[in-house]
Amino acid sequence: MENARISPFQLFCLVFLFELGTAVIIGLGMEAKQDAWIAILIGLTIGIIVLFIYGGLYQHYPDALLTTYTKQIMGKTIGSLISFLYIIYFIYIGARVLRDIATLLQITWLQRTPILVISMVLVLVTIYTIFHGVEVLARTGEIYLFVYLFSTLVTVVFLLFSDVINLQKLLPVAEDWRLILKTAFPVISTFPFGEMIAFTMFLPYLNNRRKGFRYGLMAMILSGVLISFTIAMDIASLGGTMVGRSPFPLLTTMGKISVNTFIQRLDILACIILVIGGFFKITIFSYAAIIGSADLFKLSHKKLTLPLATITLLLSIIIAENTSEHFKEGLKIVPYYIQLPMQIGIPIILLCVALLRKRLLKKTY
Amino acid sequence: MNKLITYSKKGLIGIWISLLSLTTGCWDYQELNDYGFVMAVGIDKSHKKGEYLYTFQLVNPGVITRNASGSHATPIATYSQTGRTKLEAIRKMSQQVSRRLFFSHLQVFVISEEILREGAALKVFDVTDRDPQGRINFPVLAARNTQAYKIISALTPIDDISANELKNKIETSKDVWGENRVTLIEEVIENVLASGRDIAISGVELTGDSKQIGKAESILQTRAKGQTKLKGIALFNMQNLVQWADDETARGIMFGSNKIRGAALNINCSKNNNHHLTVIVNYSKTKIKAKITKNRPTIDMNIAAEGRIGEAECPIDLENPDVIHELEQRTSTEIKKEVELALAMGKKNQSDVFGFGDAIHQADPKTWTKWKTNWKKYYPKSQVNIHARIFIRTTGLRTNPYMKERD
Repeated sequence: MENARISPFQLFCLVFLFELGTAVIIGLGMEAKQDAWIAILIGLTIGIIVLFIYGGLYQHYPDALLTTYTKQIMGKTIGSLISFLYIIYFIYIGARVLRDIATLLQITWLQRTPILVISMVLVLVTIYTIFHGVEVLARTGEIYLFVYLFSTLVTVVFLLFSDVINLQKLLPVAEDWRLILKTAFPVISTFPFGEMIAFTMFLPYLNNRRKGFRYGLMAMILSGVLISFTIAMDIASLGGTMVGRSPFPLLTTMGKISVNTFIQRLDILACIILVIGGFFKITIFSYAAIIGSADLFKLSHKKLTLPLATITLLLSIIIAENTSEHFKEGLKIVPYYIQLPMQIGIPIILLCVALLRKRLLKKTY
Repeated sequence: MNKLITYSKKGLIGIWISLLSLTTGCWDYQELNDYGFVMAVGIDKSHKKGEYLYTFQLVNPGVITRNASGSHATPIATYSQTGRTKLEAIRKMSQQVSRRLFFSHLQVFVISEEILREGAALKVFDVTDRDPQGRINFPVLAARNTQAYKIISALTPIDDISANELKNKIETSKDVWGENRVTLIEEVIENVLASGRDIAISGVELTGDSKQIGKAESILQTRAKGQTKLKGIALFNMQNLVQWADDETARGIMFGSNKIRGAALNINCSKNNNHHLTVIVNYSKTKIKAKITKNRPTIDMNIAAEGRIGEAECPIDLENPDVIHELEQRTSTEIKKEVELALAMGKKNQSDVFGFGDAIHQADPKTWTKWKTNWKKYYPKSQVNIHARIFIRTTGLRTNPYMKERD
């Protein structure tokens, strides 16, 4: 663990950018068709409940990383094993996000650039940031929050003035509750909301515990509402079927911006939103993996940055042969077999064992 | 210490310079003068089976930028190429055109009536939909009684680039006359195989001497020869063009599908005379509500419009509110009649042009899941109640017309 401190507002920025990250640009929850926005709000609610599990663990071990207190809770052998699993998990999800971003950049703007080159440039920035530590990352978040908010605001305002939003396309509301709930859990509640598990590696750096957790929660709620709003906006301007067919609906929505045929072609804002959000998501996952292994193997995180980031880079390439495979894994396999146990299963067991331990210890004294 | 700082500064500059190589985007660099800007695409039947003839209208940049009247070159050039898919034709086009085709500035898409009647022509939009540079917010037109390549080969006197002229024409006509629907590619993509709504596309035909089409001489006179003209709206059943709606019926389609942005309606001044009076419609809003009664769709269509008296060629007392009321009533009846004409044509051809299916989907999703697959059977049976109401707010700069007898 680094000797560093971050403020509650910096955590807010990181959580906000992390949650929006890739979720706001892809057609999140489109399995629920025009009701995707409802599914996202339900997913957010489940995500908040899960966040309180992490909050419970944080309350018991306010000065330890996830990889540290697993050992304290489960004993050295099992604890180390779980920590190791989490490190692999963070690397894998980081690689998935990297692939997402690189793929979207490739299919939209850089068609003839090899994906390895795009990913490499993104990873280079990540390495540089992580090398300088969590404080630098947090300060970067503070700056980019405003750039990000500005881009989003401009998009929303211009879209409203472009006369392309047709609320009829959101009807009928809540057509099939079973479909909505199936979309909300596990897919949306694990991506992006359950991914807050990465922040168990950031919480100990907080200089104000209570306020910090509250700010994190607030950022999560705000970002969830914003994602829901964006998807509703996408559907209202493009129609459910088209959003469902697009890997990057926000770009198409922005392509429709045309304020009196004068303000047009603001697609570049989609690029800004994509790259900023993607950068923070990759960096936060990579940082979680790197600081976790530094903690587990008792090494300096600076030494681990380059090798682990390289693993992320290569993993992002070999993870899938094509986009269809990558997206299908992300919807059908990862949420069920990876996200659910890592985000909800293991933390619940950890919390129960920790509570039992506290109680048993009290009785013996 | 000092030495160290200067050394690291040098290093920093070195890093910066090497980073510059990353900012060039060298794989995907694009040069403006390598591109040929495609303004319009036309699709016709090819003599080979299973192939289409694609025609592309390109801007002649030299003529447009030089702004010279003495130039002999035409401002646009059209090229044709056959292909099984559109992309095949686009890429094959490189054998004819020196520049790479660039589609971001595409203004209009014209498809010949012949292949629209056969169906399956609307599948050609996939490449436009899929291409990252492609845009899908421009209109599609149907070439009526003619070939699409002729339509986009026409030279036009007022706008240099005829694709722009065609697009401006339809946008303007939609705003002032209201018989031409602007159907964007995205609407076609969204609705072509959707069960709840059928598409409708405006037609464009040739007027004048069709042999003069595309010749520079055709616009070197005040009465230009070989021009294009918008005409009617094509009704579709799924992806097949079934019938043309003209005049009042076409406007009925526009009123019923809430697309009127402006129109001018002629009505008789009073019951038994043939003098005319024109009401200008400035605003119109159509709401469609559906419900199911006895296993049969019941649709309530409410049209609320607002307008003013634009012209009155008859002796009529426009200072009297009762007269205005009567005029309002007669205009409303006229609107209702037009929508009924359109509806009858739609029902006859099983063309759900007003989107009643979507209305039922929104009102009663459960019934809709049952009906969806054979909606075309239920649609002609639907009971439609049309309510039209127009408010005539003003009479213009004068009250009574000068044709009214004065004391």
